[in-house]
Amino acid sequence: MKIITYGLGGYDESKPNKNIVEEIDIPDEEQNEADRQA
Amino acid sequence: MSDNTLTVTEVVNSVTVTPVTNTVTVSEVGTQGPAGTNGTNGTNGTNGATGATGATGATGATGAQGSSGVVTVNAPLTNAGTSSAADLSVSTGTTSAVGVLQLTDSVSSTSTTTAATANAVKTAYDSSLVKGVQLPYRAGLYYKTPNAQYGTQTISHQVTYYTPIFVNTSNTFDRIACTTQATFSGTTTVRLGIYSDSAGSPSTLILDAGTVTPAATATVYQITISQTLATGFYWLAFCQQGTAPTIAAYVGNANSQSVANLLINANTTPTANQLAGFFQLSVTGAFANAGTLTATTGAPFVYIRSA
Repeated sequence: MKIITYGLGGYDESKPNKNIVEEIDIPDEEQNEADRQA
Repeated sequence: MSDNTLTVTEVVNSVTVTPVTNTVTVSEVGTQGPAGTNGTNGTNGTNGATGATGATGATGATGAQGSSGVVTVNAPLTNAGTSSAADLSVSTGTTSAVGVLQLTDSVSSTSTTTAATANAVKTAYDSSLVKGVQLPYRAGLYYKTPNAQYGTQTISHQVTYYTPIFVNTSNTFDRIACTTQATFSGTTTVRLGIYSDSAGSPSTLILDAGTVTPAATATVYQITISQTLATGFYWLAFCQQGTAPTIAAYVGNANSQSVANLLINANTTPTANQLAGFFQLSVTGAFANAGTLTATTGAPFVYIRSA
């Protein structure tokens, strides 16, 4: 599972990296644990 | 002659004198009569001009000294001064004595010397139905429409899906997100937003957060926001726009998975699955206030994260 985060206003071609401010990979184990606990 | 007698001197010749038989009487002129009476008086002349105002009278004498005042107060009024220089105040009320109370908007205070405002009562009323089943918001956690489980929702293009959420106390949210499923394929654009509720359906646009561009499977796409929501019902909005993907599969409330809560545990017929929310057709570009709505039993999830 991956989380892609945009800055305020969302997708914006005029901003660096199209306003994507963060990309995080969530380890499957962590995701599975989160799903199990949900 | 003065006695009206004619005297004749005797003469030689005889003369017969016929005695005068007539007596001539000569009267003297009488005295003048009295003067006539005076004529009537003439009319009075017109009045003269008004005289000048007289001088101001002298100042009166100083009055006698007044008697001392007497102030008597009853609870909750108190008098910290004297009988002639009062210093009045109202004592603080308690559960056993009447008095003045401070108003407060708090719905969590345990004070016994403050009084709730109408605003506090409304806040308590709005959240009273769910306080017992929904924990307070915790920073960093994601919240969505409270259905029992999530599945795969294949959605229609350019359709806005609205899913309900109840905010049980005023809270600020810093992310709004959606998630592609493992079967998602292609590249597209998804717009996310928040709407107010009116009589159980989406109404006024509160936030158009902008768009994300899903292009990968099993990926969370989220936008940074700073949105405070007061206690109440809201609708989280999802609309896939732009280029349609090959497979538009997102995490959502698949058909037959009912919303396991009191918010929207209903449908248009008594035999159908419970509603997941509403959808609105032909939505392109920025969000506006909600339009024509149709009930749906399946909708993609939109998450908001507590700040």
